[in-house]
Amino acid sequence: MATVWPTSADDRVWSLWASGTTSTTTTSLVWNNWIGTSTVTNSTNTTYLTTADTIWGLWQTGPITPAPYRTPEEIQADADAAQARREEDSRRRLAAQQVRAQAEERATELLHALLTEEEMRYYLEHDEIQVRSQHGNLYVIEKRGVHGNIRQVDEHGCRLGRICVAPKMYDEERRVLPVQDGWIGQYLMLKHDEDLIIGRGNWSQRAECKHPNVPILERAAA
Amino acid sequence: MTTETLADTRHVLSITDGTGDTRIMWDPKNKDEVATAKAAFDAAKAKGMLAYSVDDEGGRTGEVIQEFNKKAGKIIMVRQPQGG
Repeated sequence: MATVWPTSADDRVWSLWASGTTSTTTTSLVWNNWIGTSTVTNSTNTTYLTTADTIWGLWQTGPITPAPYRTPEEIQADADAAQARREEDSRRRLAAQQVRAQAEERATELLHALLTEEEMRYYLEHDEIQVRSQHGNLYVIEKRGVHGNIRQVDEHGCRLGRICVAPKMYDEERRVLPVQDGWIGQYLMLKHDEDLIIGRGNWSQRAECKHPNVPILERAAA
Repeated sequence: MTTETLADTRHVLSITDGTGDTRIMWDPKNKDEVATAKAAFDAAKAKGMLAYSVDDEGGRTGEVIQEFNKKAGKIIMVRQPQGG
């Protein structure tokens, strides 16, 4: 006859329910485990039980460690400390937002200083940057992030394709660069380093001019 | 070496970073300032950054440069491009 020593209330009750149903096990055996007896014996096993109170207690709460007594002053001190942490977090977030705003302002200033008068006019009118590239192609840098924001257009403005390429947007200190720095990099590369940026880019939305027979008025006027 | 706004001097190196950019200005006649600007340029190049010498008044003209040129009015350095 084997002897089963209970390892925990869960193990004991589960084993009786799931696998302890030998030919002589009856529902009363399970019931006994619930209500508690000191020992249950059948033809196969002798199972030592704790009381129902213990099983119930283990299932419900596990070991109970009473909370240490805290004075009202200690409770207030904890609340004050939590409030101080919240305020410090808020100050830190605000400072980070200010640093970010300054970085974006600085990068915007640098970007604006780069644009020619004609490019600036287009920028103010369309809220995007039109660039005549090193090899004479026309690109538009859309002001919406730096992923897939460059489209090649023809003289009519028809989209010929979209390129996804941008400078790395993290510096050595793992700070994220302002998006304007990304546009600066795209602008400079398209203008002076076209082969590099086009070579690294991924193209999508390739298309052909929708108005091939429409004369280019700007060129005619010039 | 001074770090001021772009309009304050003609010779300026802008290295794009998390602060927007770090600007280093120099007077070509001042050896210390030139040396400081060159050191910053070389350090950024060593990290793989790209350098463009551009027109003082905007991006009408410009070129890729590999070496620091103390006579360049404005140099902007950006990070290597990555396809998305």
